[in-house]
Formats: sequence, C-alpha cells, structure tokens
Amino acid sequence: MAEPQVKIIRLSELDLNFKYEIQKEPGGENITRCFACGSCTNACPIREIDEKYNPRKIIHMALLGMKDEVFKSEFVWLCSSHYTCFERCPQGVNIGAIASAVRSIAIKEGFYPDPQDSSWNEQEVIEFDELDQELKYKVAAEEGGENISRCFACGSCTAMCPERERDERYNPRKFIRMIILGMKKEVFQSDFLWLCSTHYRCAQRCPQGVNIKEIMNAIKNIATGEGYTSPL
Amino acid sequence: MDENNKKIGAVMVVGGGIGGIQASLDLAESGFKVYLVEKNLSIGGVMAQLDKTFPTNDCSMCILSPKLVECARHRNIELLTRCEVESIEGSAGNFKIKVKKHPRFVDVSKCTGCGDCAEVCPVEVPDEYEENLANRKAIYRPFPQATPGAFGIDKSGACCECMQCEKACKAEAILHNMLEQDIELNVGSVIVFPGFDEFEPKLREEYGYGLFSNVVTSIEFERILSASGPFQGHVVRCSDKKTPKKIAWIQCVGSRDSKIERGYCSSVCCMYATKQALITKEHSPDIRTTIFYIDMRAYGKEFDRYIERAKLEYKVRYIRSRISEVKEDAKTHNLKIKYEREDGELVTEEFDMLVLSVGLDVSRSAKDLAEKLNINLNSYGFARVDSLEPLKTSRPGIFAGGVFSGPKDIPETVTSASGACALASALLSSVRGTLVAEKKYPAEKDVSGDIPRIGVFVCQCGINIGGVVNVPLVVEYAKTLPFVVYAEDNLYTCSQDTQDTIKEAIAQHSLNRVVVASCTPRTHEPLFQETIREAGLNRHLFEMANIRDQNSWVHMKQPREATEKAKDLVRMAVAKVSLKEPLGRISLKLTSRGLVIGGGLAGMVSALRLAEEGYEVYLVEKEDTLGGQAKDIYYTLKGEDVQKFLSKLIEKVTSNNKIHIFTAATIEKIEGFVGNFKTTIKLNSSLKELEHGAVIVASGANEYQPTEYLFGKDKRVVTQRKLEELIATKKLNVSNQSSIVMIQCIGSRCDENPYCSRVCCSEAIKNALALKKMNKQVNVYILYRDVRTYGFKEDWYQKAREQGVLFIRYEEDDKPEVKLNKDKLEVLVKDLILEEKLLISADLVVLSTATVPSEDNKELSQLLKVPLNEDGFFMEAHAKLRPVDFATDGIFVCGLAHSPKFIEESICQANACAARACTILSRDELEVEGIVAEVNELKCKGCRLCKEICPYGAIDVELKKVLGKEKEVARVNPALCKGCGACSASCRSGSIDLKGFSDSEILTQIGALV
Amino acid sequence: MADFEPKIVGFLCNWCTYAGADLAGTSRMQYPSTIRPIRVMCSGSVDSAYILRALLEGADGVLIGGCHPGDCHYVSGNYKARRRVTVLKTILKTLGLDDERVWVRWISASEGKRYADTISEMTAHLKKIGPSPARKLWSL
Repeated sequence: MAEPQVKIIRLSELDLNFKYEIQKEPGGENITRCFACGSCTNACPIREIDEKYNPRKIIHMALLGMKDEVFKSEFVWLCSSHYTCFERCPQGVNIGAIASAVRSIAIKEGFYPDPQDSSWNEQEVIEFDELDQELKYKVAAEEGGENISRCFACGSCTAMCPERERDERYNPRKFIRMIILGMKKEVFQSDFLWLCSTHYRCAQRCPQGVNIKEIMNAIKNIATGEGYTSPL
Repeated sequence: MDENNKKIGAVMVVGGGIGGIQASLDLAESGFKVYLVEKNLSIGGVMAQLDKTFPTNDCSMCILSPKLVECARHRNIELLTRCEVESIEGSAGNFKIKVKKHPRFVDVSKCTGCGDCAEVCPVEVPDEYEENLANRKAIYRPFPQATPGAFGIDKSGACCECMQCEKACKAEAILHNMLEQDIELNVGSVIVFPGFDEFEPKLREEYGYGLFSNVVTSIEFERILSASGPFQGHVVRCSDKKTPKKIAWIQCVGSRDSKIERGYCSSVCCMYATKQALITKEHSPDIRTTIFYIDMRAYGKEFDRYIERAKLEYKVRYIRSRISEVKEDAKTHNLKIKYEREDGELVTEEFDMLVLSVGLDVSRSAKDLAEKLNINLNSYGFARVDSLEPLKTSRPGIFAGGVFSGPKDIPETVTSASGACALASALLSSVRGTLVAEKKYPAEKDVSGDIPRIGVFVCQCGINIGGVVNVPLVVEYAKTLPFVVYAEDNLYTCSQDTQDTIKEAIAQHSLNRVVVASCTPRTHEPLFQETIREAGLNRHLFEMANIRDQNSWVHMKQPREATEKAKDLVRMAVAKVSLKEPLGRISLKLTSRGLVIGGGLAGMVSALRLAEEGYEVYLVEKEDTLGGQAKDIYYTLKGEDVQKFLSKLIEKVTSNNKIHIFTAATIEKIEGFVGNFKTTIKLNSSLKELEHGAVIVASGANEYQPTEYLFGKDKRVVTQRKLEELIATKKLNVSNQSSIVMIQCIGSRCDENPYCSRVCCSEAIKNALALKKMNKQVNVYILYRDVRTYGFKEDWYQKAREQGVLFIRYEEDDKPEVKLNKDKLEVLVKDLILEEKLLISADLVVLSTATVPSEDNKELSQLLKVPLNEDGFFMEAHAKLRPVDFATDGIFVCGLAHSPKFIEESICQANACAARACTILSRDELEVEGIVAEVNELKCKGCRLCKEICPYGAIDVELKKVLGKEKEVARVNPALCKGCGACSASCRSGSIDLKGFSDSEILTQIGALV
Repeated sequence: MADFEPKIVGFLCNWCTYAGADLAGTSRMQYPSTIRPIRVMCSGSVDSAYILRALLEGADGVLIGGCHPGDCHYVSGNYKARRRVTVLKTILKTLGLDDERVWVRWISASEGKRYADTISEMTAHLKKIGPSPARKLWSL
C-alpha cells in the first residue's frame, strides 16, 4: 500500500529544553502536567473559528520541543488569555499564561512574527512593540471593568449591538479585543468609544460578565486622563 | 493476666457495605464474635443501590442479598444499625469502644415489615436510596431487601409526630419515645470499611448539574436503570419522562482533577460507564450511547474483553475527548456538547440525556471516624496504608480496606475484607472460639411415609424474571401440579423477609417439600436449604427450577416460550422433589493444615498468615529458592524497598516452625476433598505424601518474552525488568542527551493475549521517575495506548509529566516501529495530536512486557480439577463476590496465578486466601452433604463393576448374609464417596443408586417433561 | 419442514456445563428456548436408560454436557459418558432410532458462548431432520 508522503519530525532536531524554559516563566509551571485530554480545545472559542487555533496541539508541540512552529503559530499571538481553558483544565495548565510566556520567550530570542510568512500576508501586521500591554489592567482596575479579560470573543455583544447594525465599524467584540491586545491609540481614537450609548444590552447578554458599558466609561476616563478627547 | 491485657475473641466491623459484610462473615466463620456497626437503617451500602455489576452483568441485589440474609441469621454476628463509633480506648487485642445507637423509633424485634405505617404516614420526603428521584415517607424501609427488615422513622425534619403510624401498627412496634443509647463493647480488633460518597458534581458547574434537568449522576442513572427504581427500569429523561434517543457519559467528573483537589483516579468509572451503556442498550436497543473519556481504564480481569464487547456487539461509541462544558437548549432541555474529534474536527453534538461519571470521594463520616480511632489519612483523606502492608492502618489492631484505603471495585473490596479478617484472625488466634455461639436448629420433622405436600415459590427477581416470564401464570399452573398444596410469587425470594414468609408457609400449610423457581442453585441453593432447615425440614426436601439464568435471561425476546419453559421446569422440579428423601449429613474429621502451592510473594504471605492464625502449613515451591517474580523487583512506585521486604519475608517464613518448606519440589498428585486432601510431591527423586485440609494456589505467572522490536537482536532493547535492574544496581548512566523510549502493551491487549497486564503503565512511570532522579533533563518518552494508572497511582503519572516525561499515544493498528539505521537505534511513531510521524533516536528502547500465565497452570488445574479462564489464568468461583475461592470447596487462589496485579494487591489477596482457608481449618469437624451412593443389597449381584469404576475407591465388595443367604455385595464408604454417580450409571441390576440424584428422581423429571 | 419447535432434554454436569449455561445467562446470550436442562452431578452419572427414556418419551434431541476431557471434577466421569454414549448410539441404530439425536458436548464453566452456540446448532439440526418419530409412537 502506497503511503502518502508523511512528514517525519526528527526529535533530535527539536529543542528538548523548550518545555523547561516555559516552566520557568510565571504561569507556565504546569505545562508538563498536560495529559492531552482536550478540555481546553473543547472550550476554546477561537478554535471554533479555525482548526489551526488548537490549544491542545500547541501545548503538545511545545512539550515535544517544536519551538519554531510554536513561535510561528498564530494561536500564540491571538490567544486572548480569557482563562476559560484554564478554568476547565483538570491539571491546572494555564494556557493563556503559557501563550504569554511563549510570546516573551520568542521576543527575547529575537523572533517576531514574519509578515513575509504566507499565513501572515492576509493580515495587517500588528507591531507588538507598539502596544500597551498595561491597558487591560488599567481597565480592570476601574470600577465595572474587572471582568474584561474574561472575554472569549463569543460575539454575543456584537449580535445585540444596535450601533453595529448600522455600521460594521462599531463592533463591541473587536473593540474589547483591541483593548486586550493593547492597541491604545486605535482604541482611544475610535468613533465607537464615543458613540456607544451605554444602554446595557450587550452587558446583559455577555456570558462572562464583561460589563462593556462600564468599560466604555473606564476607557473614556483613561483616555481623557492621557489627553485624548472625543474626535466627534 | 491483667484484665486489660487479655485478648478478646471478638471483632468490631465498622461499615455495613459489601466490604464490612464479607469481613463479618469470614470472621464469624472463623470462630469470632462480630459486632457489625452501621450508621444507616440497613446494611448493604452502595452495592444495594446498583442495578448491575461489571463485568459479569450480575444483578447487584441478587448477588448481595444472600450475604445480607447470611449476616442477619449468623449466630456469631450482631447487627448494630443506626450506630456510630464515639470513642475508643485500649490497644491491639483489647479495645473498649463506646458506640452511640441513634433511635430508629421502631422495635426491630416486633416489626413485621408489613408497611401499614408507611401507608398512613402523611409526610413525603425525597428518598436518598433513590437518589432523590422518588419520594419516601417519614417512616420507611430503605429498600425491600433491607436488613434488618424493620422500618425506621426519619425525625431529622421529616416526621411530624402525628402518631398515625403508631395507630396503624398492629404489631405495636412503633416507639416514638425511643432514646439514644450508649453501648460499650469490648473487642480485640477493629476492621474499618466506611465506604465512599459520590463526588458532588456542582463543584464543576460547567456540567450543569442541578441546573439542566437532563444531566444526572451515574448513581442516579443506576436507580433509573433498576427495575425496582423510580421508573421501574424504563430509561427515561427527568424533564419529560420520554425515552431519550441519545445518551452521553462524561468521564472523570471529580477525578484526575487537580483543580478541585481530586487528582486521583476513581478506578471504577470507565468500567461502570461501559456497563451502564451496555445495559441501556439491553433495555432499549435503539438508544445511542456515547462515552467521552481521557484514558480507558480497563485494567482488571476480563475488563478489556467487556469493553470490546460493548464496542462491537452493543455499538457503544467511545470518543477520546474530555468534555469541559455543557450547554442546554432551553426549549427541548437537550444538552449540547462541543468536542474535538480524534481526526481534529470540532463537532457540536446534541444529546437527550447526560450521565456524569462521578468519582469516589472518601466518605464524609470516615473523616470523623478516623479522628475518633486516631488513624492517619493521606492527602486526599483516604486511609494511609503502605504498599507492603496494605491492610494495616497507622494504629495496630485496626485494619482497613475497601474504598477507604483507595478507590477500588467490588472484587478488590471483597478481597481486602477477607484480607483484613486474616490479620485480625492472626492477631486473635489465641482466643479464637471463645465468644462464639452454637447454632440451634429445631428438630427435623419426620416426614417418612407422608404424602408429599409441596410448596412452590416463584420469584419475580424484580423484572429479571417477571419482565419476561408471566410469573402469576406460572404460580397458577404450579397449583395444578400433583402434590402442590401451596404456591405464591415473591418479588425477591432471596430477601430476608421472604425467608420468614417461606418458614411461615411451611408451618401454616404443613409443607414437607419446597420448590423455589428462581435463579441458579449454584449460588442460592444453600440459602434456601438453610431456610427450610430452620423451619424443621431436612435440607434435601428441596429443589430449584432455574427460570432466570437458564430461561428469562436467555430468551428475553420470547416471553411466551420462556413462560412455557418456566412451567416445564417447575413441573420437572415438582416431580423430582416429590420423590426426594431426607438425607443425613456425614461428619468428617478434618486435617487442620494448609498446603500452599508456590513460594513466591503471595504464597509466602498466605503461608505466614495461616501459620499466624495457628495452623501448620506445607509450602511447596518448584524452584530451588523462594521469591518467585518478586526476586526481580527492587522498588515499588512509592519507592518502597522490595528486596528488603522480600528477604525479611523469607526469613520470617523459614524461621516459622509451623511452616514446612519444600523447594525444588513438584506436585505429582492431589487427591481428596475439602478437609481431607492428600497431595503427593516429588522431592529430589523420592515421593512424599502430605495431608492437609485446604489448598492455596499461588503458583504465579511469567514475564512475556518478546520477539518484536529487535529484542534479542540489539542489546539496547530491553524489558522494564532489565531496566529496573540496571537502575537499581547502578549499572546505567544517563546524560542530558540520552533518549530513552518505552513502548507499552508489548504482548498485552493483542490477539494472542487479549487482556491488560495491569502493572506495566505504572512500571514504566516508576522507572521513568527513577531515570529523572538520576538526571533531571534526561529525555524519556513513553509510547502508550491508554495510561492505566488507576487509584492513587495517578499522582505518579502527574509527577512523571511534571518532570518532563513525554507521553505519546499510538493506536493498535498503527504501532511504533523500531529500526536500526547504521548503528543508530530509531523509533518511529505517529503522533496522533499532530497527525505527523516522530522519529526518535533512542539510546535505549524499553519494552513494557505482558504478564502471561505460567505454563504449569494447565497441569495444575487438572490435578486440582479447577478451571482456567480463556486467557489461561485460574478461574475463580464468582468474579465479584468470591474472588479468591474456587467452585470446589477448600481450594483458593491468590497472586499472579489469578491475574496480573501489583505487589500490594497480591499481598491483599494472599491474606484473603488465608482468611478463607481459616473458615474451614478452624472447624472441629466438617459436615459433608449426604449425597452419596447406596447399595440395595437385595438386588446386588456382587459383579464388582461399580468398584472398578469408582474413581475414589469408595466401594468395596464383601461377603454378607442377605435374607439368610450369604452373597457378595457391594458396600459404599460414605466418607469417601463424592457423589459422582458413575457407579449408579453403570450398574446392570440397578442396585446402586445416588441419593439426591437417584434414578427414579431423574426418570421422573424426564417423564414430567415430555 | 413445517415450523416445529424441537424439545431437547439436556443432562448438564453441575461443575462445568451447568455453570457454563449460567454464564450464558449472566452474559445475556440469547439462544433458542428448546432445551430443558436437568442438572446432574457428573456426565458420567447419565445412565443410558435416561437417554433412552427421554427419546422414547418423545424428546427430539438429547444433549449430554460435561467437562472437557482431563478436567472432570470426578476424575474420569466424562470418559465414561463418552464411552457409554458411543455404545448407546450403536444400539440406537440397531433399534432403528436416529443416533443423530444424541449429542455429547464438552462445555466448561467459562464457555457460556459455546453453550449458547451448541443449543442454537442443535436446534437448527433437529429442525432440519424433523420431529422424533417416537412422538407418535405411544398415541393410542
């Protein structure tokens, strides 16, 4: 029987030390506890969108030592660290924190997602250096903003938003995403921030308790605090 | 002797589940008084709530109730229900224990169990036995076969004291003013079997338990499946009582979950979920069943076969994916589960009903009990026991087992119960028999010459019989048969209260013979024989018709034919019993000595325990030295020193003057029967005869010798055993660059040996951890099919992963390959998560080989006349409730001869064998059934054919005066006759006949049939 | 042959075949309801008179179930059964009765499936060769 050409991965060419490196990063200690049960993948909302975004697979690749592939995977850069997988994981593997840890290791080793890479060509590349990773924590510190990191991009808010119905630029899910990634400039300058009528429907629908109304206020406060004003 | 130092010949057993019951029975049969302390109204435990048990699919209550009845009627067992231990003083051999007896508000000695009280009780509350799926009254009996069979009042907020029950009770048994009592007991030892509680699934809210109506726990589902449960055995959903079309089981709910402090594996859920899915399919073949799991832990005897049967025959779907979230459709109340299939596709599937396979938590009351008894617990709250002393708690004289010492299934619990009994028995051997009572029976009625008056009792067995056979019709039919003067049907003929019904019927209707149409006489004949004896009838005026195992269970789709067959079988039984005569029992002397075959770990432990119990033991070993397989094991998973333990054990055994050891000895012949065995062994080149009363088979097993994966062709391919030796003797060096690949399931779970060898996953992990200890960064890869680290061994699996050992799963049809590339050893394996092949350059390839039965088993099984199972291991009498017995009395089995197992399990089983053997050896004499041949001297011609034919030499031909004339006649020695009937079948003049199975009885059965 | 349900009389030895039949029951293996088991202690205790009586009373088939050769609980009972039935079969042929109606099968306690299969096979065979002529012999 002719077997299709299966790529063979030579373990001797992998970085068998990678898992220990991750273990040393904060939040990454339990990575080796993973027994590939799939609870994380079953709970990951990003996995629903695309099968490439597979937390179980990524963890497994990291454990085997496939450092390059892990660095290049979109998942590691897209993971919103909302923690549902961590909550479900029976072994306490904090995938969100691990994604974060991998990002730090990657950057330390001088790896940046390469825009020439075919999978990145479709998108505009976000320069992580220019992002403000602190923004989400600032929001979380404001009253009503505590649950922002819980967002797992399910889209319930966007489905309810009347502004979104009128104009696709006014997208609450995307907005929260930008905050979490730290795209401060875009967030402060967006029309949506200042247009949001804070009528509460999205917050009511949110299954994670992300209070978008309060978050809007919090952002407005932070923005004005830094000298931004409404563009409208 | 000081009062306080005097040993007491009594034992307290705390916990009335199957473990406590088994321990009580073994102790009571070994000459000790037993106080069985149970906090609930009835003994029975969780096993009483189960519908069926795996892997035999026995009806749980059917196999449990004879034991409940035995406990209740045993002269040496005192049942103390509604009791809890308050405090304990003293030390091993002499404990003073204060027990608090909570009032049940009903006088047990007066209550007839009629139920009139419950009829009039106005209060309804959720029934805990039915897992709150149905209600009960404030005055209630937990379940129909409850033992004691009396009712009790729940005054914890249910009873409103309206006194209606008191008015309705004709027996005047209700005592609303009953007070708490304090009881002080003096015992020599305590055996603790408090059992477990189910994990509370609300702790993992994402499964929706308590919020979504169609999500149930596995124990709730057992009640749903049960014929006597809230829905009469109809599988229906809670929301709309409709039959579900698709049911899913979610495994590992509350197990293997470090997040909620339950990192251990509950050991039984993979099997019980399979059982539930299988039984569901039996109830309604159209229901689609799916099990979502992480690893399939089918590690026990016949477990893998059970799973395969579920997959192939019953089409149960198994999906390897842990479900982490459940959503509900608010309109239909269906459940939606999202999971990633093994081929990578993400699927959302809808199910009508979800069963959460909840884990085993240590019992809540056990924690209090442990504090009061001052015994140590492990980090999960279970009893802390050593692998090499698995039944001892931290306090001498107190022994523990069952789930309390770690999650386990029923056979393991029963084994540990017998094992604990052996330790107590050894401790108190000097005071054995000092506190026991003689059983008093009424005189046997003389029925000779009387016309038969037969009573027929037809069992419904819940729906097991009644659901297929038209039982009332059979009862009516029975009434028309010759000599039948009384017939009735029972829900469960074997329950305690039905025994009383039978006795009453015998008295009321002057019955002199009884027929029970129910299950198999092989399990239940002694129970009913005992009942009729208590009513004054000779045990042999009894016959059973097997209308379940050989009728309703095998003709489930043919109710009409099954009913006709039941009628035929009842007619045959009635015909036979009408000819039955009372038979006397023969008392035989017995040899209070044991023979242990095999001087390995199990053999030595059981020999030692028997000696400590006070009996002489012959220990026969075929090799030159003692030790068996244990000689090659250095450390356990927990790191305990096996070699040290082994040498201490050998020392204890060789220095014990009650143990006579024969090494380099083989067994030539085994003759005799329970209490009177004679074994011939060959020692050097001479023969020696040994006389003994019991046999313990501990003949061990062997390591599979692989031929695959270049074993034998390359020095770098070794077995786990060899690796362990290299590590222990410090002959191995590993560096950061070393790669060691372990391959699991070598010679197991394959066509040749379709069973799991149980220990290999833990062995691999044990050695992997040892390697990591040598060098933290050594690369270890374990290629597995399922990781079967059940119980607390799961912790070590986690440790191995934490330390960087990599586990790569492979499938049976795509096994790893080991190749030699120039002089590099390479392992190729397909990684199923990545769907790509991995190539590992290995410095060492370690094969986790199977445990295979000893090649001597076939011969030994023929010498002993005991059966082997399909895989060649010895087959016990009953997989669940008689795990160390053989069907032949007086012979027991333990260790690897029974099946692959861990050292602690072998030790447990070896102790259990010693306890079981003690129940025989402790007697003064043995009573043998009077099923022997007898010669009619008038007809006998003295032809000697029977004497030649008899395999036991029980017949002699002698000169005798018969009717004034001298002639040669045969004479049977009833002590030697085993009742095989070979003589009777060959006699040409019909003068020799087998009592109990005489020619006339058999011919009548045939005549009644056609 | 018109659909008739054969009647089989089974002499099952207590230690092996009867236990195997029980195992078929606990495993819920389904088989035809044609057999009427009679429990005996040993296949070696099955007198030829029992088999003849069964056949003459109209049984369509007789099954003797015992332990596998070498495994008899009473040492050699099954060998005796085998020899006895062999002799009986020659007599049956002489008497003009069908010797295909008497089966001897070695079924051990662990062979529930073998028991179920044996009943199925025997039932099918008896259906093929038809009801026993002895059924009509004694009608008056």
